Amino acid sequence: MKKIDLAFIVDDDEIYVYGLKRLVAIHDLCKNLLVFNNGEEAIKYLKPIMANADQLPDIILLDINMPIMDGWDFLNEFIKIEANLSKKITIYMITSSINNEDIEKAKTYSEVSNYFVKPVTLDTLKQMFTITT
Amino acid sequence: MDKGILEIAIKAANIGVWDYNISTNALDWNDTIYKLYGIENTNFYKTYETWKALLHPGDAFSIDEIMQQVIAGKNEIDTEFRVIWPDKSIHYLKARAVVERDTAGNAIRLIGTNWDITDKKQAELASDKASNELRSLFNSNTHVCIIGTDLTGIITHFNKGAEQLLGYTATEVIGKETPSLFHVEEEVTRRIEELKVLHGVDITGFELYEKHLQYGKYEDLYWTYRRKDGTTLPVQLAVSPIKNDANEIIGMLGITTDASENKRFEYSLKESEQRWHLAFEHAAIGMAIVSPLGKFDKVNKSLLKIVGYSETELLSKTFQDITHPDDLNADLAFVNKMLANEIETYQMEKRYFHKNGNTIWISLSVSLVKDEKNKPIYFIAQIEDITKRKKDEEEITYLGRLIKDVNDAVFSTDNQFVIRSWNTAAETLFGYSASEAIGQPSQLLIRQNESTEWRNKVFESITSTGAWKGEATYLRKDNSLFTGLVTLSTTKNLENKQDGYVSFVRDISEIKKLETQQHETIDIISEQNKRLINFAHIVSHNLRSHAGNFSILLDLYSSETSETEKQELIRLLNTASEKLSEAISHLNEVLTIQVNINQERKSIALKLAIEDTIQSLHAQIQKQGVDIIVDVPENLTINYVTSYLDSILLNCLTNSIRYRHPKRLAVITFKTYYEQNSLVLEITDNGIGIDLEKNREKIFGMYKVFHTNKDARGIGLFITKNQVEAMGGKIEVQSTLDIGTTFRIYLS
Repeated sequence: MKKIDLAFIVDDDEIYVYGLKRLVAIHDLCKNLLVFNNGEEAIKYLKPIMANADQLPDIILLDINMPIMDGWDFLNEFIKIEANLSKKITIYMITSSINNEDIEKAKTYSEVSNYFVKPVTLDTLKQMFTITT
Repeated sequence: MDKGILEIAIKAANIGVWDYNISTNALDWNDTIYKLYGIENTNFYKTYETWKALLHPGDAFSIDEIMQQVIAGKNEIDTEFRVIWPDKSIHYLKARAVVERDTAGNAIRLIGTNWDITDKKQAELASDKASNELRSLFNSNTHVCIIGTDLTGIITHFNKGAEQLLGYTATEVIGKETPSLFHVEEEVTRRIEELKVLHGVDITGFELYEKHLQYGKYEDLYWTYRRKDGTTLPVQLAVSPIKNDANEIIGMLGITTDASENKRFEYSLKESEQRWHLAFEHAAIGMAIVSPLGKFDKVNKSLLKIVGYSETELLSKTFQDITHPDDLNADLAFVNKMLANEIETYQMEKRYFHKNGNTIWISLSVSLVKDEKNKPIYFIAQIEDITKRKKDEEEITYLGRLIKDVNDAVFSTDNQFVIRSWNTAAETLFGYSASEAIGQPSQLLIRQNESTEWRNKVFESITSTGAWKGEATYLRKDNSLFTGLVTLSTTKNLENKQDGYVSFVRDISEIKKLETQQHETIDIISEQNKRLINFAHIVSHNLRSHAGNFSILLDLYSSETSETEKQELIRLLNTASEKLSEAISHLNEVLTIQVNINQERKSIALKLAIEDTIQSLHAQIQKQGVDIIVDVPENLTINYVTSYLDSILLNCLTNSIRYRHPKRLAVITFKTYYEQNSLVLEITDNGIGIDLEKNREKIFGMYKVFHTNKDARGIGLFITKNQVEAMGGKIEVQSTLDIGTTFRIYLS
């Protein structure tokens, strides 16, 4: 078990983000946590640092419903730059959508490691923040 | 003589004795009298008057006359009279009486006898009648010649008429000669040959004639007689059998009349008869000579072939026997008209029964041969078997009727597409009557703009398969259109060459309409379904995310120690609560639209409504300096739910103002126009525009926000779309980044 250095949260829900940040802090799940309010912000941040492995996150917790660039848009953009990333990034989709269509759609993205429905439990969180490799 | 013996004798001889007292009018009878009058010897009150009432009324008068004579002096009565018995039978009585007078010479008593003479009287009367008639007929100085023969042909009777006609005397011929004395031999031979064929026997002479007459034939023919002086004359001879009481033929009676007046007719008849005889026998069509009563007297081979009978069989029948009962009256009507000289010939098609029982159709032509006195002699019938033609006709008629009555429009054209036939359904479907349609080009029925491509497709199919099946838009006489399901095939003539086209057209407009309606219904339902699923997801998503947030915040609160953090958590809980309320109110708003589809519509002046909306945003518009153009007719009204229209207009206008371009003066234009009967409200702005490539899916979705604008809630256009659709319309968007956006709202 290795503690994660850096995780991204891409989500526009202020309260959820606050809660998540507090839980991570309380349980010391990772060293650093970066929050983006939508997909566009996250991609814009990622693009310049693709080569710098130490700046890249280990995991991304990705919401689906977001303004401007939603979870799917983000994934589409992410696929384009994935090859240039100097680090393997695990993406979890975390959303309140229990729409089967969304779950099935998520499965079509090999980049998405797992799909979780809000609210996520502490155990799930701990699982996500653990690098199993 | 002893009186007793006399009485017995009188009784035995059935002689009635009577005694009449003139002065007292008393009448006395012996028993026999009662028998003679057929009455009982009881209670008969006997007077002159009651007695007279028993007499035949025709004789009562002469009795009165006799009584007058008696009173006048006549002393003996000898008379006959008739009595009528109670059973109405008439009996002849003979009466004799003597008169008794008083001294003054007055008749005071009559004594007489009666006896029955009925048998004698009747025999007398009969023989008188017959002999009188015969005698007058036989010996009258007439031109009718009557000749009787026995069965060997020997002449037994030869009347005055015969003597006059032939120049022979009765004594010269009776018991000595046969009619061959004055007949022309070749005529007799020919007739014998005819009769031999007719009866199928090989006998000659009077034996043959006897056979002929046994069929009950009464023969009436034209002959030539040779007089004693060697001159000849044409005669008409009727021969009938003489029969005895046992109904055996014992001789023949010929009644001959001079037919000199008909000489020319006779000659031509003879000649034509010979010619005709040949033609008759060898005719390809059936021929028959038929007696005025319908009997087949002569038939040819063709006819026998048609009806299947042998000659003998058919000659024993009448045409009535083999004619179908349903056709008989029509035939007989013609026959009667002909016999009444109303018509000279007739033709008809009728049915015969073949010997095997089958019905056969024949074409019949009949003419009547008459003598110069217009007396019908025989019918000549020509009979042609038309069974096959009739069956073909029936089939054609049947097919024709089928086509006429079928519900599909059926019409045919020649190779140049000129209409040749047009059924009832076609009249109904296209509005053209048969007389209007026939002769017209069938292109008349096809919508003009359904041209090249469609026609090519049709022709291609016809060329390769001889038929085409598909849908076509047809033009009615009244210029209205309908969709028809068509089967078009080529038609071929008897030489198997294409001679045109036949089209079966079924109006499927109704089906099409139903189909369209079904599609529309399905569209509406699936749209509705989509919205409902969407809505369910929205509900689930929003409530779930808020609920999740509550649980996270509460978890944190319970484990939090820092007061500052706790206060922060309380603030966040408040925010979460507000957001939840807001979400619930949004959902409510959407739900209201979904549920209350049948809100009351009102007639709304569109321009006024737009101006009201602009007014309500007056402050904002002035502040931002927005130029708004309303190009909507003053009098244009729409049927709409007021609150929806207000909401739609407000949303669109707010959006346009909110997403105005920062670098130029905002211009927003409202205008209306019609697109295929739908009223369209078009709202155009010159704002920042939307990247529809990316966002087309999201623009009308709930909580889909693709602008960074802080006011964006992702609910406005979702509600607008729902309201527009609830009103039966649709909303479309067209946009280019940096140029502007156009919303098109179909109001109906």
